[in-house]
This record gives sequence, structure tokens and C-alpha cells, in this order.
Amino acid sequence: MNQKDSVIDLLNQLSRTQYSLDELRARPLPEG
Amino acid sequence: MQLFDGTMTIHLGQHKQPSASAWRLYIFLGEIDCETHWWELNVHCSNLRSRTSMLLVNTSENFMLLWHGCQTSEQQQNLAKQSAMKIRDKCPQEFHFDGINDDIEFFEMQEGDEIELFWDGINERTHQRKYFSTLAKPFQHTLPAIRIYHLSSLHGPFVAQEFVYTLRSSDSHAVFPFKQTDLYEFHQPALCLIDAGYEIFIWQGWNDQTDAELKSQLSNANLVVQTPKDIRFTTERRCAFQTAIDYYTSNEMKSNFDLYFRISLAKTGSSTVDIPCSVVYAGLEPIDFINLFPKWNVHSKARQQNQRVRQRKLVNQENHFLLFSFRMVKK
Repeated sequence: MNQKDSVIDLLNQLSRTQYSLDELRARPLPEG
Repeated sequence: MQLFDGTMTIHLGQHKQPSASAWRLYIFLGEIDCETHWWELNVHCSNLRSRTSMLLVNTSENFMLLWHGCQTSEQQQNLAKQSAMKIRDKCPQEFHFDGINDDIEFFEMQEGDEIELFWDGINERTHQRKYFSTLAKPFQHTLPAIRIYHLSSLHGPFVAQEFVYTLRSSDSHAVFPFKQTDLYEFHQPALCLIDAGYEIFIWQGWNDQTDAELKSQLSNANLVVQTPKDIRFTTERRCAFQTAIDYYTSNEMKSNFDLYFRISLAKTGSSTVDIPCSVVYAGLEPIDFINLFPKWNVHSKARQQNQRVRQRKLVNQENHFLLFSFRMVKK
């Protein structure tokens, strides 16, 4: 309930262009 | 609607079965005298709205209490009073008043200055305001009408389409142009941009799956890669968030937003608020968002789905963190 996220934070999360190897090995893959 | 001469009322329940309680609550809608109308809501403090007027009625003791929210204009208050007086004169049988029009006692009050009878009526004896009251907020007297844009790339390019209010008129200010169903009727998961005048919201719908689909997805959540549908939705979300930021930076109302936020920043002393754009999720909407609409029922399926998505995300984040720290220790 009462969930509100900042657009900027989420946008930064989704527009990353570099990921570490560990992140790419993990399943499910990160969004974005 | 004009046939009712500004007194059209949508009641809850059935005509021949009046509700057990004598108290009833109605919200005032519409901007022109022949189009004003009332909607019955459940009698509860959370259903009050600072943006409009409400009518609280007791049918057995014949009271009519007209309450004006602190953001209503004088014109709106006059319209609401005019319509309420017409109802009192006509005394329609659907209200189930116990008597004739002369018996009905009429009270008028402003938000923040209510009589005890009002609090008794809504059964809130501690006088707690369980709605998003703008009494103590640094808002201007009337805020611009809210606007909704549906964001979608269903037909290829990512397009924002504005949703129009059917009762719009050029010389009046729409208080509640949209209903909750306007958002929930889109093909889900939908994305909408809502410009509330002081804040921009991105409303994110829910994944409308059957229980069987959901079960299979949950059982192999850690194995499957994202489906094309998920990937498209992620891209749409990215575009929507970017659109919200661009909308804010290019909006003429920027000074309005800034004014509100500078005051609220000064009040709270916080330095973390950057720009007034936030994401809200279907079924988990915060109260300030809910109060942009006249009537709100929590959509239980949407809530369930979005809660599940969030929990899964949190678990994943924890797992990543654990894995990462485990490797660090090994090294």
C-alpha cells in the first residue's frame, strides 16, 4: 500500500548500459 | 443528464431496499448548473475530497449537511448549494426521507469548521481526516484540472494519447474529470501519465494473467528468460519515465510545480526531493493519487499481482546481494 517510486531512480535502473559479469550470470536477468 | 435539471443522483444499492443505516454520503460533480450531479459513496471519512462538496444526509431524522472542501471555489459552492436545495424541495423518494421537504433541516459548513453532527454522521468521532486533505497544504486555491495521457506502443511507435473529459466546457474548471475505471479499462498492463498540476504520476497497470499462467510462471521464475512481452513492457516503461521527465521540463506549469515543491521542501527540510514525478502501481496507489478521483475501490487482483511482483524483486535483490558478498568472502 502507498507505494510510490521516483521516476528518475527507475529510469536510471532501466537505462544502464554496463553490467557486471555476476549480474549477467544471475537468473532472472536484471530488467532493462 | 440535463433532463434532471442538475439534480441527477446515482444511488448505491436497490431502489426498493434502502440501506440499513440512515446516513448517506453523496459527492458533488459537474461544472454547469444543468449538469451538476451527485454520486452516492459509502459513508466513510476516507471518501471525503477537499476538491469538491459533499452532501451528508440522514434520512430518518431529516438532516442535510452540505460540506465544502477547502479547495472549492465560491462558484462551485453556489452550484452545490443550488443543487442540494433543489433536492430538498423535490424530496425525491429515492432518498427515502421520512417526511416532507419542510421537515428537512439544512446545514452548510466548510472543511476545517465542521459541526459535531457531521463527525457523528461519518462515524469519525476523533475528527481524524482519513483522506488527502489539503487544508494544511501549500496549494493554491484551485489547482488546474488533471490530465491523463495513455502511453502505448501497441501500434508500433510509442505514442501518448490524451484522454478527454466528456463534460468539458471551455469556461469552467473540471474538478474530477476522470474516474477510476478510465485507468482500469485500458488493455493491461497499461501505462498512463497523469498530470495533477503539482505532481506528475506514471500509473503502471498490472499483468492481467489467469491463475494457471501465473502458477507456471512462478514455478519456474528462476529458469525462464524474459518473454518478448516482458521486454516490450520494460521498453515501454523506460519510454514512459523519460516522457514524464521531458513533460515536466517542457511544461508551462513548471513554475507551479516549483512553487509547491519549494514550499514543501522548506517545510520538511528534506533535500532528497528532486523533481515531482513518481510511479504508482495499480492496486497499491497512495492516498494523494486516489484522491484525484471521486470514488475509489481497490482492485484486489491488481493489488495481488503487483504485490507479488514487488516481493519477487526484493527477493532477487537480496539473492544478488548474498551471492555477491559470498564471492567477496571467498576471494
